[in-house]
Amino acid sequence: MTSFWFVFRRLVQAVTVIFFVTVVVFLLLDALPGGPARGILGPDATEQQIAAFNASQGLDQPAVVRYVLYLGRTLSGDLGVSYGLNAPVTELLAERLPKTLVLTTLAALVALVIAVPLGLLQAVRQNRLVDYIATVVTFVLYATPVFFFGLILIIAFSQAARWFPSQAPQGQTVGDVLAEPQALVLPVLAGAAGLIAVFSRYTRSATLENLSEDYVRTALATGTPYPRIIRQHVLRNSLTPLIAMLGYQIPVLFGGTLVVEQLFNYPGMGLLFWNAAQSSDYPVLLGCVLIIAIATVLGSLLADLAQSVIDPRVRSTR
Amino acid sequence: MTSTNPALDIVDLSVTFATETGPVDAVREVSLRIEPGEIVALVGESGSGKSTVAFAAMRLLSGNATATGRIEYDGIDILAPGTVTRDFRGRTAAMVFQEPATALNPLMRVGDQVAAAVRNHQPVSRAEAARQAVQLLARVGIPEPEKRARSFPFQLSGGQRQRVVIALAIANSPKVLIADEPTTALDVTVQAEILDLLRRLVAETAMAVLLVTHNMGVVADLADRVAVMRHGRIVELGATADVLLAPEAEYTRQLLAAVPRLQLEHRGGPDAARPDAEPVLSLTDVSVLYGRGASAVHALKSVSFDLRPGETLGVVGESGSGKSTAARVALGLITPAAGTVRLFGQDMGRLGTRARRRIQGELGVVLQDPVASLDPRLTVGECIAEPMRVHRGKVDDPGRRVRELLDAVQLPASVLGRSPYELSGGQRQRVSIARALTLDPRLVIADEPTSALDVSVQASVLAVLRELQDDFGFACLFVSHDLAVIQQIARRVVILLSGVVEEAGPVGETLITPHSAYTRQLLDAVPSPDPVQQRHRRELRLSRVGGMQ
Amino acid sequence: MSSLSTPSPVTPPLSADSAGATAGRVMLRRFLRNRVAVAGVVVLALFVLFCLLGPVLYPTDQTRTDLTSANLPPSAEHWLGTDAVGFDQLGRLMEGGRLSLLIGFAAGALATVIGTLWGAIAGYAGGWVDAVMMRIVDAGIAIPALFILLVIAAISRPDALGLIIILGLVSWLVPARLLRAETLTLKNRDYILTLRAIGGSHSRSIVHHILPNSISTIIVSVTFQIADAILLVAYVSYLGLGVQSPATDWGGMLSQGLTATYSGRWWLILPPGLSIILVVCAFNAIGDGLRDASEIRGRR
Repeated sequence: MTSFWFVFRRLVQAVTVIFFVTVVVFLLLDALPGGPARGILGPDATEQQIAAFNASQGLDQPAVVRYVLYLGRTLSGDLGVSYGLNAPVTELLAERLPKTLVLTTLAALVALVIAVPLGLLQAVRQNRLVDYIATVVTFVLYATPVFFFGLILIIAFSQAARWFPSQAPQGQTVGDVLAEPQALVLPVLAGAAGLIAVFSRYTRSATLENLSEDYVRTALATGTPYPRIIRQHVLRNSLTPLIAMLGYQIPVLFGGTLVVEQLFNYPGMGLLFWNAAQSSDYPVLLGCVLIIAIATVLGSLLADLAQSVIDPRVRSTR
Repeated sequence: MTSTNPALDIVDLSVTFATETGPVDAVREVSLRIEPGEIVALVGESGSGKSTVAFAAMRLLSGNATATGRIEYDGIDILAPGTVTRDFRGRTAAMVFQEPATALNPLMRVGDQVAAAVRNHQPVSRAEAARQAVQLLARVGIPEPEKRARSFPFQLSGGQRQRVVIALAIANSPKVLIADEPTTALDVTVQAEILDLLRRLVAETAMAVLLVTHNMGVVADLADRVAVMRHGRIVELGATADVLLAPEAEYTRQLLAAVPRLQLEHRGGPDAARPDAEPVLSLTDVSVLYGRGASAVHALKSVSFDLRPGETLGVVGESGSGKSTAARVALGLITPAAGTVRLFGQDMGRLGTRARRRIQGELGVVLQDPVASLDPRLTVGECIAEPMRVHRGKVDDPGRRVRELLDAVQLPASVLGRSPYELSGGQRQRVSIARALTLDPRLVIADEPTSALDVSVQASVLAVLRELQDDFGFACLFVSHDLAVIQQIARRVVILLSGVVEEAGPVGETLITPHSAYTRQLLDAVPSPDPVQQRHRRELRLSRVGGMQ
Repeated sequence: MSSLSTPSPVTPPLSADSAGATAGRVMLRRFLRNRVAVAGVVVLALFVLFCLLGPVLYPTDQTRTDLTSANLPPSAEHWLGTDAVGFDQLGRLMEGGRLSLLIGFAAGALATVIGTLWGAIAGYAGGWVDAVMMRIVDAGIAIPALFILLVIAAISRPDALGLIIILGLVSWLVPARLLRAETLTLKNRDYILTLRAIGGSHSRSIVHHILPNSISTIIVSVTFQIADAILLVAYVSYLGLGVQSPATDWGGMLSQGLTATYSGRWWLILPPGLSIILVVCAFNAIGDGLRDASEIRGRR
């Protein structure tokens, strides 16, 4: 009963957010020079074509009507046609998005595998040397622009040490991409760097907070050995909120890919977007923004639901 | 090993905390011994060091604490290096904490938590530990233990959670049980049940118990001997009946004098005030709903009561009874779903903002939490003067008014420029009272104004409030969980149970010879600080409870 | 009845016995004891001095290109060498730092101001107003700032002021969430309830109580926002949308230097790169220190 309402309310929230996202994208589209007509017909369209298109699509109508029409087109899967690549935006996204997802998922996994044990170690050894060193390292990782960090990776491991190629896999499909794992190493590391900083800081503070909770004292008082307290009690309580946190990091993840894909020439959505920005390919730009926003909303929805499965309180109190 | 050893022998224990503002001596040369099967209470006000002794005895002090002296369990000093083995916590000594709401792991089923405690000391299989956990839950009086073992802590009531904490503590049959304010966070009826449980467990197991509490009633109900602490020292130690009935130390006498006692017999006195006068506050059929749809909960259901000029009406109930909601409805902070609230004869639901504000200027407010009731960014003077800024022009000379009020609540003028941070809880609550009286209100609404205070402080704050009421003549709506306090301060009382008025009437009758069984139960559950009387009351209560079943 | 408790037994209360120690002074003392945070202040102060006073001690020409002295390695004349069009790299570091710090500071402050107002209003109003306002924030967070910046840049090329406004407009969302959470707790504090019950206005609650009591949250948020804004400026320049030459910022220097990496001209990328890292670290360390210091329930 309660969990049904929780899921229902969360779904309504997600739909509302996506609605607002379409409004933002619509406003951006409307603000374009030449308006959406140019966005859809391409930069070579003549004035007459644009006028005819506007009349036929009802674009001479008030903004609310235009928005409804835009929403209708979007819902029917029509995101326009790319100026430069001469293909429907949906088709381009269908090809590029999976590859970007491969990159982001790998980066997130690598970050988690490194950051969670690190954060735990820092919390358990709070204010000792390990904690100080890790704090400094994570601060630096957080403060390093991805392109700078990527560049250093290339110089160190591709130029000086020739271990990994400086160019990401160029394959057409996800399978092709995964077939060149050594070429994925540097892009994944570059994408993971900032996340390692965020996740380990989060794990550290969540663990410290839990260590000072009353239930830890109760466990101590029943004679539970310290390592078992960490394992049995603190770990789970600290990592559960990390799942929701992961959901909120999705935009950061995509933001990072934009730079990583450009730097390593990885043919994913980020590179598609970057090239589109260079050539003012509006339909591609807005299509990408829409898809990323929807992916983010769905991601945090899933993260929240996953958290509610683990933490029964979430279902009943919200 | 030998039977001559006491279960717990504390010798010359001193504890010092290193704080940001220098070392603080929390405990000074405390000595105390507890024999097997004996319950010794450590009683005192906040800051007396009583809980620090308890935590020191478990070796659970925070890292900035240094303990010296000896704490011997069966002859072994746990303050000596290398003596705290894995067997110590849980097997030799175990602890019950004050806050059952946070003492359990929120993400683990309670049965699993108890089973984990069993396996800390006994090499049994998981299945066997789970079986023992269910047995333990049954033993601490949890109904349907098999089913409850699968619950998460948040699904249990406060009393049940405290029972689980007790189950954790007795899981490995410890020789000494240390209970730190085990019933302070609980309702009075639940408190009585938990005390019954502790008494039964001690009788069954011959555990020694160190009971830390601030409540003299709890001491009288449970303890064999009592030690009174003040400023980190034990000022008096003796058999409970001796200390509570014939205290020797001056401090113990003061403390006992400040404890509000429930009157059991009618003593006459002025009851209902001018019934003819128009009420300053009246609630008629007020209902309040929390939540929406099928899951909505009635916080108040058709509640009606009147408050006449100059009188004090007590509103009593346990947690979840809706007593604070009633105060908030009267304050206009919650809009009722149904019913009318009349303030000084005006229907608050029908007034415009401006007229409403003018009427609200006749109100004074005192809320529970002395920490949160004053804005820490203001000075004491600014806090008291704020109502005059809201209602400009009502007072001619605000500066003089603030000084008068400080004088009225017996605070020195030197606190004016200080931050509320620098005041003690009792001082802050006096500032709150001064602020409430700034505009010379006709009605003061006080929601648990003294429940966060020590008894001696509570006594002086109540005295100030009563004196001011005589001088200023305001009516007072006084919300409290404490029947003895209500008896002292109110003329009439409304008893709430689950959002419904269970009983209402003059204090002298309702709280002596109640009509409702619930009110009777509530009164019976209040422990008396007189151990002889309390034994009698307990037997009476248990026989009544037995009779009801 | 839930919270009638004696104070936490393990740590004695600070307030009563520490006479004269106001909240602000306690916070400052805790902050000064945090070595990492103090180091952050020192680093930041050095950079500000370097950028503002440096040109006085080490004057260079940052307006005219000089191709005859392009791509020189560090020397007595040019301490950090010169770039591809002959600007002295050390002088350029001061020039770029001024702009990076200015844009970061202004954009971080702007974002915090917008976010504070938005979050305070949403949290205070509650109900559906809050729901709608926060869904808008969710929507904004769902679109990565870099993507929005690229779309905007595809439409028009901003100058420094435009950049500040745009960066402020894309990064107010996190402070809005923080301030909403803060307002939600504060608005149910007893002193606000008391004020409302005696007829105090909403604006009085917000202006006289909620905002002053959120000040530590706001300050902490500003420091983190500035750090993020400085990074964002670097990204914007890297993506080729930064300020126009001869004006520059560290991000712009870095991205121009990238082409020279393979030819071994390290002095083109290391100084701006390390400057960004140090300054962002400094702001984050200060933010962390302020946050820890402002926690009433401080850890041992």
